[in-house]
Amino acid sequence: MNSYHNPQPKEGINTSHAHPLVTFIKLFSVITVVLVVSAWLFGRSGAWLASLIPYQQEVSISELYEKPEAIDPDYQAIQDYLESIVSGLEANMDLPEGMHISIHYESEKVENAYATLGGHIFIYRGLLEILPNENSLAMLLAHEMAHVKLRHPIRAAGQNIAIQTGIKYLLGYSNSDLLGQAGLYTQLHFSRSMESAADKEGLEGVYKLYRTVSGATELFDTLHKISVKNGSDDTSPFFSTHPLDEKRIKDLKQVVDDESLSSDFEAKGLPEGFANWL
Amino acid sequence: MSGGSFQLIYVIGLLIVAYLIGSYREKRHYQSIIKREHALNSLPAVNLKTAPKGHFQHELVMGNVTISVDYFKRFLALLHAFFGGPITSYETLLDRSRREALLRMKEMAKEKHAALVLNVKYETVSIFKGSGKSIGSVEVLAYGTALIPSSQAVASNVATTTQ
Repeated sequence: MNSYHNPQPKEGINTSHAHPLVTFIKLFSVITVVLVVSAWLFGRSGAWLASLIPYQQEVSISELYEKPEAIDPDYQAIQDYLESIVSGLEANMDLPEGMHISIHYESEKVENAYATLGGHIFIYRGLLEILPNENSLAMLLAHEMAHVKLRHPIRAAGQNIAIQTGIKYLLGYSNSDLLGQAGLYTQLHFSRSMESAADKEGLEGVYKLYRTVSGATELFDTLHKISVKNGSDDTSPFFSTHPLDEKRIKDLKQVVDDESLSSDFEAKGLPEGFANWL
Repeated sequence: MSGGSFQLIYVIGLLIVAYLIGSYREKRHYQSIIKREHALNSLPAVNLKTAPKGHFQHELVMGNVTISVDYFKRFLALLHAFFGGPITSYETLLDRSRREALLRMKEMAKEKHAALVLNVKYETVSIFKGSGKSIGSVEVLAYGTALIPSSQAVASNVATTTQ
């Protein structure tokens, strides 16, 4: 038996010498960079491709999914009022042919308003209650209509779908239910540049309708003050999707100066009984 | 705190705890393995199939072990899988499993007063797939033929019978 031996194996032959934490930091850093760059590329490509979809096709896609509820007769007055403002703005915002805006009132104590696919705009009671005049309301609606006019919802949806799908395929998962995940009637997140473009376009539309920027520029001042007052406790969905930094307000005021938009006329007040309509 | 931030903190916390506990347990296991290997080096286990000359009783001996990998190493393996190459986080898992299985086989052979274990083989299988089908635990079986000198075999049988 002396010819058989089992010498003690040398440590570290079958295992790597690299420290697991160092390996982790290296791999995690590289994968994070790869995913961020990929997400950016997927997002940009998706948004660009989606912007090529004709508007009528966008409407058809949105109709495949859950439609907004029918108008409650109790809120017919506020619905008619909102539609009258939207109609006035439509005539002054040079919307492309065939583009129609559908406004939907939601009687919930939520400070929110958003535009989504198919020309649908949702506005909530919580936000209407804090608006000081009709011009501010018109500016809010014009801002959301500008998103639709500039095709921001389909671009944002395209971006979301491309990022979700691209990253899933990159990580080895796949799911063919692309549109189901996108949530076509849910709130889409727009970039800061999209928000600024919608501000400018909306302000011009409001100015054409009322011949004054009074009330319109105040809207963002009012909302900004509320946001600052609430501080970090602010969980309003509107502020989370519409970042109201001072630069954005300054840019808007720059548009007023550059285009010499007048504020001679006072803002139009809200109609009598407005609070009872909500 | 938003749900996303909470999830991130939860995952980071789990990774830290898993790394600390996993590293400590691995270190302890290696210490035990090295100590027992030194003690059992006098009993050779080889993969030769031919028995040396002499009178021996032949018996099957085996050692089996199941070891789980910690959450940190599983996470690290996912990162490795993205880029390819050696999955270094699983190397110690398999190294420990094989050495532990061999040790258990030798301990069984030693109980039988074997002088040598021939034809040693390993079987390795993953018995639990974690989330994302990543390997969670491995089972390693080491087995071979113990050569027990005839005189020792008689002694061993007597001891077994009288127990």
